[in-house]
Amino acid sequence: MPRFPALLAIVFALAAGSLHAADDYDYDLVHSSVGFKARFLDISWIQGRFNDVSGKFSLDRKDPSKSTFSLTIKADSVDTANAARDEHLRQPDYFDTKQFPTIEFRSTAVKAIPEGYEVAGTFTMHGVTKPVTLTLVGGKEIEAMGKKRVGFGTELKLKRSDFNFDKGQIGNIGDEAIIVIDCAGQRD
Amino acid sequence: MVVRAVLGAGAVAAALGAVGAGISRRQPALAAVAAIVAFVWGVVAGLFLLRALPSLPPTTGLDRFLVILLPVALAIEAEAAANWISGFWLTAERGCVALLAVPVLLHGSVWLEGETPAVVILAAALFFWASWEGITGDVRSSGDRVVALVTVGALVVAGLSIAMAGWLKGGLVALPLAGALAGAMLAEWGGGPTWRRSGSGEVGGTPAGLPGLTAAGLVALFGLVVVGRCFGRLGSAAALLILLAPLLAVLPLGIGRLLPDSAGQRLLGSARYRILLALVPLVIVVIVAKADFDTRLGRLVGEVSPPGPAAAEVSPGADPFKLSRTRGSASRRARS
Repeated sequence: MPRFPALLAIVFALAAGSLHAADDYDYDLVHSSVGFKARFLDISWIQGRFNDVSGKFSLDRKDPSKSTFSLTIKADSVDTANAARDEHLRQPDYFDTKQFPTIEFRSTAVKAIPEGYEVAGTFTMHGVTKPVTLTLVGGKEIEAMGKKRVGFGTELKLKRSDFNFDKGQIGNIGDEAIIVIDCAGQRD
Repeated sequence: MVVRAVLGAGAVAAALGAVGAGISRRQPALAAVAAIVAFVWGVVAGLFLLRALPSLPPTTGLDRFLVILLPVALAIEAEAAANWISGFWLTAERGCVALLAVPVLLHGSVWLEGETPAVVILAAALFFWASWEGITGDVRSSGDRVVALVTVGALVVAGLSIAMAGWLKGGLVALPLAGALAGAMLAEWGGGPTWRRSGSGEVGGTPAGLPGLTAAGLVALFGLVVVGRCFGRLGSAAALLILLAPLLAVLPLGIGRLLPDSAGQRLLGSARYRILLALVPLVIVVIVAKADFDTRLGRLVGEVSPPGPAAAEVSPGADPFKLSRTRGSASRRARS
């Protein structure tokens, strides 16, 4: 009989050990950015960024499939260096930030690739959720400024019309938008 | 496209309204329901021509206004027109819709996540219910057409203000609503059966469809102003002034009834005087909205206007409807 609790303790210890195999990082807002750009009259690019972003990622280097990534962007924090345009972008013709306050990515499957990780997941914007696959370049951990840090970069191309944006507002500003994510994570 | 949508909404509503009034010449109840149906089809035609039909299931405040609030309110008005339910139940139904209107319009938005105090929602519901119930009841007994006319104007002003504040689609949707209401009212006034005026026993009083159409206009105005205020950039003061206009059109009538002398009653009951009074807040709203547009979005429109002839169409301070034409010409140029 006394063997059973001991066995149980070993199982828990192993389970705990496997949980600890993943490193949990908080999104480092100071050293990260989520930007976007879209074509203007098909002659140039309009660029902007979201200033309020949060996220977490958990990296299991032994078994990358157990890694998870999540990112939450406050749509209201859109910033194109033009206050009037930002106000316009927050309205229902574009992001409709009162109705759809966040833009979110949640990973569903992760696999290691030579450049970093290939992360499949769901991308939710403007109330529409679509599956996307991101190639996260990076992932090397370093220790700096008293914390362990890791960073990734990726680009995501999407069509605004796929996310139920008002088709009447797709014209001067192109349908396709490119979201550029450069994020750093940190842990103690 | 905008002009086509407004004219299309008006023409469909007027044609169907005239047919309805003609078919139900001796049956006011049927004519009243027909007027509401004409308004509905006018709105559908206008939104179709504007390419602004709501998405299903509704996901935005504007969708919920067009797919839930307006149809439910119109169904209640159809019930009222057909005399299917008693006055008590009619009042209760209107009260329920008024109470649920704001939560339905703001469903799933940040406004219902603790940002909006319950007292504000209750106050809005009370205002909506009182104006809907009170004005519609008054129109049914008096046959007053001024409120419906003013509501058409208020819808146009609400649309212009919402569009000039930066929500083009939200503003443009108001125009087919106004067009359909105007068209259905024209058909109504052109002929058709009438309700007896209450208490007088007089036949030939209120046009049968007028109370229902007035109610439809008031509900449309309230819904549009709420979504314009909460999802667009329509200011609180502008929203209140727009909603005040129909009340100003009916208030002198009520005050006039309290006066002992007939001269005062005539003055306050004068349609011209009441329309002018109701126009005051609407004109203020348009002037302020235009000034705001010129200082903020007008410059932005100037920035995004493409070079060439279209640039002349959209100068800083241009109205947002020119912007939509420019977009069309820009995309045509891009395609070519």
